[in-house]
Amino acid sequence: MTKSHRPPTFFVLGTLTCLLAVTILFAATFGAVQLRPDDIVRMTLNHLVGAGFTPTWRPQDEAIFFSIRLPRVAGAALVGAALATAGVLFQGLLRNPLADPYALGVSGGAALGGALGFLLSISFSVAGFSPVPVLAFFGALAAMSLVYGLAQSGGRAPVVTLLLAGFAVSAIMGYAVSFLLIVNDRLQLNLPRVYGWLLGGIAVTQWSQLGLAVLMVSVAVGAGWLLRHSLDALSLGEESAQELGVAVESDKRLVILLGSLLTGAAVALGGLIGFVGLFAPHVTRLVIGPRHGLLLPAAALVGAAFLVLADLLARAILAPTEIPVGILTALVGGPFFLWLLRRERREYRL
Amino acid sequence: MTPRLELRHIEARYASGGAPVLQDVTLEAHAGEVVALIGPNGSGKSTVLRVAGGVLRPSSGQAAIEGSDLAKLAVKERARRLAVVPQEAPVPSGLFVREMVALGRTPYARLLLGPTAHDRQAVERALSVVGIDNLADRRVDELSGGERQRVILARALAQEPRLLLLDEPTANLDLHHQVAMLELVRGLSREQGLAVLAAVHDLQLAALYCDRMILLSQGRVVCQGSPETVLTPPLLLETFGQRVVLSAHPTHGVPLVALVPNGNARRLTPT
Amino acid sequence: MFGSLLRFIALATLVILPYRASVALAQPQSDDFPLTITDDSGTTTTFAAPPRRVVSLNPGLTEITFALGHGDSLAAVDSYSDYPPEARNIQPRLTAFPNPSVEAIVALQPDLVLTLAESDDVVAQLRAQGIPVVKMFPKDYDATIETVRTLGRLYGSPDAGEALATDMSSRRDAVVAAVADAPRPRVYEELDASQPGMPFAAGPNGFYGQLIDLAGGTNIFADLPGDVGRVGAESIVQRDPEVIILTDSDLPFNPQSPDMVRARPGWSVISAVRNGAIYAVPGSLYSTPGPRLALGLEDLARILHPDRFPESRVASFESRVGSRESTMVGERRTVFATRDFATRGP
Repeated sequence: MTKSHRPPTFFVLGTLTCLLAVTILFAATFGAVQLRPDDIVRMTLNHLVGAGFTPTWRPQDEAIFFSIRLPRVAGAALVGAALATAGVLFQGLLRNPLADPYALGVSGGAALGGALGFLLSISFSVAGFSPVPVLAFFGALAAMSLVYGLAQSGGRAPVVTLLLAGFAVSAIMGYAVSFLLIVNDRLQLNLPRVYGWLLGGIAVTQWSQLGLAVLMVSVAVGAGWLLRHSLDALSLGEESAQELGVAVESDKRLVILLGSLLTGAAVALGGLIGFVGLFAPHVTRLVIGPRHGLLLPAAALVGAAFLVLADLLARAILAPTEIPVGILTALVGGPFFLWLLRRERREYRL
Repeated sequence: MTPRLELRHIEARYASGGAPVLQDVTLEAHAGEVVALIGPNGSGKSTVLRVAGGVLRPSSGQAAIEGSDLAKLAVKERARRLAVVPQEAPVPSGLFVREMVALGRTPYARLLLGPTAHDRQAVERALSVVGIDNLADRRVDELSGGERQRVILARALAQEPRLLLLDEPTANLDLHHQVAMLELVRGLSREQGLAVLAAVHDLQLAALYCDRMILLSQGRVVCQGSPETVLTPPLLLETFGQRVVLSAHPTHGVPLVALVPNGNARRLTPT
Repeated sequence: MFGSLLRFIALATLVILPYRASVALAQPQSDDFPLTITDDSGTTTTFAAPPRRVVSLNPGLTEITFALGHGDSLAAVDSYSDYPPEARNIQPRLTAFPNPSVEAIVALQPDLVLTLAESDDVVAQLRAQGIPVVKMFPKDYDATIETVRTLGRLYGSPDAGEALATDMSSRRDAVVAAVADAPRPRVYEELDASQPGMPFAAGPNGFYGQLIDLAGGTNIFADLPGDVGRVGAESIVQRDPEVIILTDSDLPFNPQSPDMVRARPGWSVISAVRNGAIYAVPGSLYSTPGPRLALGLEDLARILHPDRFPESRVASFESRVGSRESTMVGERRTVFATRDFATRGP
């Protein structure tokens, strides 16, 4: 079987992994302090394997690098991978090129959860996460369950109904957030913070936060990859997929669950960052084709690299001012979106 | 010998409590034969195919494939025994022909590992049987309607089914491809012992290419048997509302269906 | 006979009435009236007489009103006006967010509405109803002093306004003089750390920034484009402040404490953290445009230069959020001083 028109799997994944590593290294050198790549490598080796390099850097630099910058860059990579994977899953499920991780009510649910987190006077910490991201996570899951519940009847959830329910739930929850902002004193006083959180920004400060998130994201990405055959078949339509032996409704439920876990984790780590989940799957698909066996891991790597770069720009362009990273992804993603719409007219279909 | 497909007293509805779309439909399809479903629009041809494909559960009656109750069969097992060639299906962009045909191996796909040698062979066989080897590395969305239909047929064959269901396989094809498609299907049926159930709207083509016919009207089987038995002017008038005159095909002897038009048609012979 | 009695009564009334009226009017110093005021938005309004029914839509402007001795002319305040304590008893309390109810204000028939931040639409609507609106939005300490003077004149108590303004400026001058030749420590002032990796910090201007300057500190974020900016934790570590001021220690959510700051990853190398120079302060004292800014300034100066401000001059009073002392590390203690402006008459 000739694969002359598709780049081989190992080549693609190998290249993308190298690209991601280089991007991470690049992003790690820049920030308030510019570190030298070789210093970084030596610092890391010292830390990881106890290699005894004599420091050519200040203790401040080491503190900045390991405690502040690296968790953040790692967080950006993780969020990017999670959002890209969720994007692939939802685009496969909904067979709609405009589908992104927030398509099924998640953005509204996460915003509402986050607003409630700002509202409540209880404070707790789960693996280093404060109430806002924890509640945003559960808000995302709750919204998605609500959407599925609304859309399904007799055990089946037609795609169009899912999309409509998702839109409605997101809109309603979004307005609920606005309503809360108006009637509640606490939130009123802190409007900029709430919106700042909503606009997105990698809020990873502790390695413990990453630990839990890495676990969740890798499990979900792995499970998504196991569903690759179903996703390929679903691109032919639900009836054809069923005729090819796919248990359509139960696989759809699984895809929705995985997508919501991934998106919830992403929101907990970085707020509502848009466009990555739309941009990474499409770009990857254009280059390597729609087969999910390769698309899923490749899009994850592309999304990770993209967000690491966006986050770098967010903290470096107007230093020391931090720009919410959601603004930067929109600046790149927006024009891409327009280009995609133009292309749509030439019958680009999922 | 157990018929590949058996439908007994099938009653089917689309919405529970709605009017039945099929009533008391009983039919069989055997290995090595091509059975045509004919009837006017809305007579239930597609519904019969849906029930036969296990996609629509009948409200009463039994459906069995090779003796196994269709309702009890796992989806994956069903997909290994029967394949469907739909009338139209969305085609994702960027897919190559070989990849599209390879999707036919989905019922056999392994969870963790990649395709086996057998999988690859099944794909190649399907491509060559349908005669589209030369198209294997082309993109599906760049093909013509006829070529695309053959790709979908190849995909169905890659499933290595025992029963093939076709819904209006000639609907969007030009004349040459209509004939080619049915040639192919009948050939496969005879060479590989495939049972074929196809909804066909062109009576002439059905007469030339099927071994048995089932005439449906308003969800009921009006008549089934050889084309000579089914294609009779009174039945066709009653079912289709169209007068026909039958004669014998000049080279093949099968029924030749001639429409008897109304007043506005052209005449070359005197009344 | 009867007719002449009537005439006498009429004449007497005619004579007495204006006398009483002029007495009533003479109590405040009203020789400046009619008075034309230009507010911060550039609008001029002429007042025939000092306003006596005032609606204040900003806590700072409410405070100034009380400090000038005119707390009793307040007919309504916004829901956040809670200093001095008497302000909490004023009814009705109007919700000003997102927009105050124009109807509610009009129904009160005020002869002055004081606002800091209301939208132009609302202001125009009120003015269209014939209600004078004065919009004052002082951006820093000096501007607040000017606002005090303006309001003093507006209320017909220019002397009280002048006294208060002089008090504020002399206290500022005293602070500036006391720290004039002292080394200026690097200061990081935090406004909000809901996201500890990207907190909001005080920029060069505005209330927070100016106070740092006046109190003899160097703001590590003097290069921010605005009065407040969101900065990365890296920058903070990099710029190594010697003193950290937490104005977000009394926020309703995510209040920060010096312990929490010390626990932030990577912050342990910062000089301020190593030396225990992290101070939680009541944010309102540092940012409300009113007379207590002087207290905020003195408080900050004492934190930055304890050696320049002997303990003996400190008296302990009630602050805005109740009796409290800032959270301390080590031996340095500062007590907030609040003067009860409400009892100072014109």
